[in-house]
Amino acid sequence: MKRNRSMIVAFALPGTLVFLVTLIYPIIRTVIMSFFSIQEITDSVDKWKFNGIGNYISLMRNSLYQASWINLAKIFLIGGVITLGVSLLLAVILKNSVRGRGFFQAAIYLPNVISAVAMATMWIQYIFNPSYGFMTKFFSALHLDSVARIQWLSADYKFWALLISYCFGMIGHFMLIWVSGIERIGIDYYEAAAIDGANKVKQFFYITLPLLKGIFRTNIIMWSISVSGFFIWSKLFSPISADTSTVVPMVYMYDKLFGAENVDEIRRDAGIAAAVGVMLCLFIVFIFTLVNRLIKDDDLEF
Amino acid sequence: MWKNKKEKENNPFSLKKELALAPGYLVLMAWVGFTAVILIWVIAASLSTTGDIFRGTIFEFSSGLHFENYSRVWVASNVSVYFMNSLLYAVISCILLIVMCAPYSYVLQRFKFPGAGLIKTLLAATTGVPVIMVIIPLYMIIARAGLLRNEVSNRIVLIVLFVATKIPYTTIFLMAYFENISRSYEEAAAIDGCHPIKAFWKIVFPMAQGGLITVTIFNFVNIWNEYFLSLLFVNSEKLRPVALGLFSMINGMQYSGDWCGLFAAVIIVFLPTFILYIALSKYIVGGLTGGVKG
Amino acid sequence: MKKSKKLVSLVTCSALITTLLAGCGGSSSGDSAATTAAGSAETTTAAAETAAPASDTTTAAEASGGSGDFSGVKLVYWSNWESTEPQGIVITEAVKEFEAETGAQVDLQFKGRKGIKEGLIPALDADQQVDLFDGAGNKSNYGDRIICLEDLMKDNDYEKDTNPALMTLNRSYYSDGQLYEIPYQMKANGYLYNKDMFDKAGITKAPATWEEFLDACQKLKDAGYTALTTDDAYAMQAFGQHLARLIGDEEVKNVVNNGLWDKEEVLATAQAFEDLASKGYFSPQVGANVWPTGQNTELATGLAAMYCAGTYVVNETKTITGPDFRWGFFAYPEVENGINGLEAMVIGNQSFAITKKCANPEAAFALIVKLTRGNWDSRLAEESLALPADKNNESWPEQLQEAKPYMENCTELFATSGGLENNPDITPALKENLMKLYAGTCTAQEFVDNMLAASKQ
Repeated sequence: MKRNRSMIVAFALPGTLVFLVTLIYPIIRTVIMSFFSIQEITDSVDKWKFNGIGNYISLMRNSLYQASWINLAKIFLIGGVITLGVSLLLAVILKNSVRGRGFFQAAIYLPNVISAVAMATMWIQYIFNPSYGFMTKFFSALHLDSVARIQWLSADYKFWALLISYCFGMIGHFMLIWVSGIERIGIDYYEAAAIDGANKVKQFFYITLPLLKGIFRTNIIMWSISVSGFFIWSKLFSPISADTSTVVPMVYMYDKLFGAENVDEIRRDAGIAAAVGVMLCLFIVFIFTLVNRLIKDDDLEF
Repeated sequence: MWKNKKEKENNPFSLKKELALAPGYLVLMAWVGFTAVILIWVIAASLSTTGDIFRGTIFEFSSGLHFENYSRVWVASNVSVYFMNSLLYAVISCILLIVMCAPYSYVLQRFKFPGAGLIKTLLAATTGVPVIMVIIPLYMIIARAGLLRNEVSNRIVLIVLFVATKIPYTTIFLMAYFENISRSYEEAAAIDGCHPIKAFWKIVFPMAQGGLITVTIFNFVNIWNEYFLSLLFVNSEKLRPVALGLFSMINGMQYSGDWCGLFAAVIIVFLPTFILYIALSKYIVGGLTGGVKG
Repeated sequence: MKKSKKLVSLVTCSALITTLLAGCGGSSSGDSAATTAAGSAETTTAAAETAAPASDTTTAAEASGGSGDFSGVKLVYWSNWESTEPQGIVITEAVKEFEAETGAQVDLQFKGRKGIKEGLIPALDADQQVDLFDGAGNKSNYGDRIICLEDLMKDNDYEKDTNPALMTLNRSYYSDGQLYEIPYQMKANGYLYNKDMFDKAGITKAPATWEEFLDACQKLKDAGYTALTTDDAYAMQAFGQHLARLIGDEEVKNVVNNGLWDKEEVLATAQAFEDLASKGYFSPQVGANVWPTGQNTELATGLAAMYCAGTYVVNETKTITGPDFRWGFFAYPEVENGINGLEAMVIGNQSFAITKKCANPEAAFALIVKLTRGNWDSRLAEESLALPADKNNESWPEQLQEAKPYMENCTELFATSGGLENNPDITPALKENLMKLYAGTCTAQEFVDNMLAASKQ
């Protein structure tokens, strides 16, 4: 066990050191800043004014900030079910030794690599365009005129348009994680199960799912990390200033940190921005702890 | 190129088997079909004119193919220099990340030692803090220390920061992959008198290949597209990575109405990451399948 | 000869620095000024050489009130444009000429809009050298990081050639009423329109009152055109200016900041737009327009006739409209019972500023003069289809000629969108409900109710 100890030190030290040296200072600074009233994030400490939990109180009372968390929760829950569900389905299909698997996998992952600016512009200007867009053309070809007439980017549907286009990209990302996880399950499990007469659905529930527990846990955490950083899509779906159906905490924070556009007198508040950062961080810690409690690491081995 | 040879040999064509997979194929076809529509639109946009993009006549190419969109972007920005810089930053950072985070993740997942729980929670917490809040305070220290005045130290600073900001994500990500590897391998190695450090690199590390490759792809794409960090830390044309060079151009193009150029620039940024994906993806699929048994 | 030139430039250089130090008592940059001067002495020879062949142009520039000799001076200039944008191209050329004429060395860096908005303050606070920069009308953004330009302006007799309204606007951004930012790339807000459509619909005169505006909309509709469109990003502009015509922009700010949506003028304005929507003047897809859909797919392609935004739209859409598109402009029409008229407008500009870190504000200012006066100002306006900063530049881009009389007669300044965007916490709800109002999916009363509900904390 002594040898194990030397390994733990050797393996844990470099990572912890780099992590602490670079990241712990800005994080602690952010936490402290959230209790102060500060204009610029770069202001020196003597310009900070202690504000207690004032930043948090004013955030909680702010209806736009509330809306941003409601949107985030919706993206996390609804988007999470869609993204993790569909990506798992695609991964399982790919696992079943489909021909041209490498090609399919590449094609599904591809949209992830393209910059979000181009992807969002494409969704807005092409897929959702009300006159010549893909949705309109596709559904009128199917004679589903009521669906074809939906204005996806109008106030009532904008959130859903945003969610669909965001999830579409993320599905490829999570599909890749599932695939790399499923790949670890030996073929012989399935062969043994097939001999026992288990069909594909049963195989999925009794073999794939339990063995994917670890990956499943990771994926939920990874999803919460992606969602908490949700920013650029919201910005592109409501350029210049946010709107209530697409605003998320990061957008709110950004406007507090660098100033909202088109306001004659720019008001910045790094203290509030820091408080938003702290709450996003708590959100991740909450999900992380919850998921680790619910899906126990029971040393499943294979 | 994308096909896995070994797999092909193991799977002779059988109609019955293929038919059972038909619903799966259908889903895949629909998905890939839609992706194709999207990609073709983006590529078509990069070869058409801004007018066609907004008239909805993008596929008509009434004025021919506009390859000059690409040459305009290529000439206007120093793309070849940017590519080399990005490649340098991304490759070194990805290697450092794997070398540092794989063992880190392994010990955090495998062993209960004092502080392990705290470290895990701290790592998770860090991933939630918006990167802007982390980067700006660091910038204040580093810039004041004069580390950005010298080209070499500036590059080192960039790589260290790319690595540092990705440590939490990479470490958490890899834990699940080590969790699924049986302890019996290490136990067997220990009985053979193999030092655990050696056992890790020789036995456990290769087994996590799928996860290592996947996270490397993610890290590479992330670093390749990283914008805000380079925006603050790069003040010299010589050090600019692609993302900074082209994304700021892309931002400008929205306002000067050069949307076809925007799409061309996006394709230029995108191609190298795609090639990397093609090169690495075969190691996600295949790899050690069949070799790992409980 | 070279040697003597070097000596002369060194002397002038140090003389300049001493005067500067004496001038700006508050400046703490004495040390850095001295080091800059010493460090750049080596570069002086090179600069002097380039200066020599350009001596003809130097005199010309001096004649036009431009640059002096700044050999050995090094300036770091951060620009919010991209090197590939028309503005970036012109600035690059102008800076080259400036270097050749004055012997100064300019490190021109195109930082882009985000680079200035997100990166400049951290850079300045981290003691990075930036002498001057341009930005999107900085509006007291930079606090005491930038210097007051009143003295430099007096010394160069600069103010007389800029539209006084813009000087007033830029002075209004600072509590002490002094000028810290030099305006250029002016813009005016109002309705941009398609002149061909107006001609075909038989509209001979740009509308000046709400009745004339309604009449124009009807004529356009009768001629089979879509009269109006907008984008979500600019939704606040029409409503805000309408409301500001009725109650003034200060009162509009009061409404958005204190949730006074039950004011009768708010309802009246909402009813005016409900009326436009119910008469079918708005594009049927207006509710779903996310910038730049309306401006690019409807206005620029000739599907819709009028668009309420700023003169910058002309530049942003030029690749779609082509050079032959006939643009028109009119200020937001006067409304019945309004308290102001066409003389009250939303105008704005991009601006230049000099940082506190700058050791040679004279040189930096000379560069600003070069870019905002005479030939280069005119080039900037032409290439980027913007309004020139120099009053004497008659060469307004053809597309923007109609904005000229409005700009020249502007005496009262509205805040952005008539003050309607003053409260960033309420703007998102406002934007959403305005788009519904324009699309005809909510009534004026519902609009008021929704805004009242959204303003409740």
